[in-house]
Amino acid sequence: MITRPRSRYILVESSEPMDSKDVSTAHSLLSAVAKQVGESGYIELNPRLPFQYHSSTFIMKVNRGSERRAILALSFIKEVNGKRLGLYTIKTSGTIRTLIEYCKRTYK
Amino acid sequence: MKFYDFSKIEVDLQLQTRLGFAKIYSEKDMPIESTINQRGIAHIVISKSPDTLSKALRSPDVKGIIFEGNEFNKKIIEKAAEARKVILIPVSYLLWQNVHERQKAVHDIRKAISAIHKLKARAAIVTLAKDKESLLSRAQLGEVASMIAVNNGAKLFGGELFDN
Repeated sequence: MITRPRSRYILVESSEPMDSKDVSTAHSLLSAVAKQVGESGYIELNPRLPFQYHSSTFIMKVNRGSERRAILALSFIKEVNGKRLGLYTIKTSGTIRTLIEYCKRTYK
Repeated sequence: MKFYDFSKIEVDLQLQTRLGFAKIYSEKDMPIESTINQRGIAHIVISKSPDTLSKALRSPDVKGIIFEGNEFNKKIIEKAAEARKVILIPVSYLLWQNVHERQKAVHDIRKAISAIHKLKARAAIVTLAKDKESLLSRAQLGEVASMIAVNNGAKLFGGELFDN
């Protein structure tokens, strides 16, 4: 039986405004993640950027069990799309809804 | 358990909370100086010189020491353990290094942490971020600590800094 891989959602805040919905920015960020974790690590993580909350907050989706690796990889990313920035992982959750509710409570 | 960090810049309270720390100390809370100041203010001494660090450990105003450039000295670690002073281990510079430099730096820190554990010295892994790009959240600092110290990382990171 093939089971659907479970995911974890990481709420990420950047020190500078960053639009994860912009194709070149998303590509640059995911390439930076791939550089940090390697090709096999990237397949294991399978990172996606499903949601942008506001200018500097977005959600990253990764496969369950590899979120710690993703958190470490994000620590070492200091440039996205030619822009110098820092990425902070604020919260990790099993559902995107929890993170959106957290964002609504926290970022007013 | 509450977690603390130390950075060179001031971080606003809301961001401190979002990053998951009870407090991020800055140089405004506790100055970092290269010599022992005699003004009776609590401070931290950063130096490469074992003599300066040794003198600092005898001063009641010095709350902690930092080995500049993470050049650790086992004798000073021993003295810090006796004096019950905190050894701050900055890690934010690792984030900017290339993989080879980082590997060497991690190896040096790991060796020092091993000595710290054997001697039961007080130590804390902190970012000591010079800019906001170098800041890390609690989860990230925990992962970096685990990367450096493998199993010992969790015990070291974020512990009670300066007897809060």
